[in-house]
Amino acid sequence: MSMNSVYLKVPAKPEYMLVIRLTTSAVASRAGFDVDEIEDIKMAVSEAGTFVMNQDKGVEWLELTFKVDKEEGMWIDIFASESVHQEALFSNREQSELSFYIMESIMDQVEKAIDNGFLRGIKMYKKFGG
Amino acid sequence: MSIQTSTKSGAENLEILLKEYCKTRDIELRNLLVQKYLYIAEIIAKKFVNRGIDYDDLYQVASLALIKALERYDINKGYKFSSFATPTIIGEIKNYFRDKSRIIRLSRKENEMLKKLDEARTHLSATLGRSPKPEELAEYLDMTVEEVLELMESNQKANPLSLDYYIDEDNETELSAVIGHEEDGYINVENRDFIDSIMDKLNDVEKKVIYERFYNQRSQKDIAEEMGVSQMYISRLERKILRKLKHMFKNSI
Repeated sequence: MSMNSVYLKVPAKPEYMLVIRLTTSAVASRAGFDVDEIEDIKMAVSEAGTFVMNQDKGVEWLELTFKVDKEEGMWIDIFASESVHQEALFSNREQSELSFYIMESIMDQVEKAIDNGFLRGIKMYKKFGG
Repeated sequence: MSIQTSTKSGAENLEILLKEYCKTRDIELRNLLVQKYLYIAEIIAKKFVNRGIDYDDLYQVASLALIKALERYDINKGYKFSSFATPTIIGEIKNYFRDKSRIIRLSRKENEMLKKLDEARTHLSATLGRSPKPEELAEYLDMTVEEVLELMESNQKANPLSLDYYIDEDNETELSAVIGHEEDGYINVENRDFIDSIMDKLNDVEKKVIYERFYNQRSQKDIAEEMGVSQMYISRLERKILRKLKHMFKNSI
């Protein structure tokens, strides 16, 4: 089993979504996903990025980890530099709920990383040929 | 006070309506609910723009999926409607992409050019009042005539033809009738020829074993009994002959 990792840290600003999206598509294409899957992964990652970013104005950085296993698929973690207050989760609830459902429908696994009641980020996984 | 409660509980109101709808399946109520939830279809459809299908089409597919989702939704299962509708809508949009996307994919540039060509064709047909000539298209699009023709050709090539498609004017010959296939006959002839030539090199016992085993499909035991030898003997002999044949076959090619 060979695992390759890519780390990315960008300012938590909407204009840096482009950097995240481009990196995501480059890594996903290295991993061997086809174009439709790459579009899906990109969509899920930008949803997650916006999701984490919008929870709290205090988030300064987004930290992304991509892990690629040539046989299994790809894991992506999207974390905020600071913990996001769990109560903030309920701000603009309808929208964030929907965006979470979207992530869940296009990835094979999505979970919120919660640390002491604070949202830290989102972990997702996409398997090959899924 | 009544105003306060009604503004506060927009979501709750929807829940009540949903519950009501799940009970009655009343079409008027369904239509009202569709309108209330249409924003979900809109949000999701917007996520899929820039993938080669117009937003309007996506929105339509998403809206139809929303209706389907509502009709299948059962509030007693305990899911929120939006959590049920989202995967349904995304699934329908993906199906639409699958049906729409070509089996043979053109490059993005070609796809874009084809779109422009299409627009130019419509525009020029309207202004000229007739179908435009390749030269006119070329001039309008600022390309060479060759490029226009190539584009038109690539459009054709990306559409797979039906095997039942008639290729003549009298509708008598189907495409499948003229498509070639690999002819097994030749290889059969060659194999036969090879077997004939090597069978000559075997002695009578060997020939008999091969003949009874592979032409008459008899068992080793059966042959052994007939020839008055043990089954082991036939088995060993068969392996030996096959090895010999393999060796000869390798040398012959």
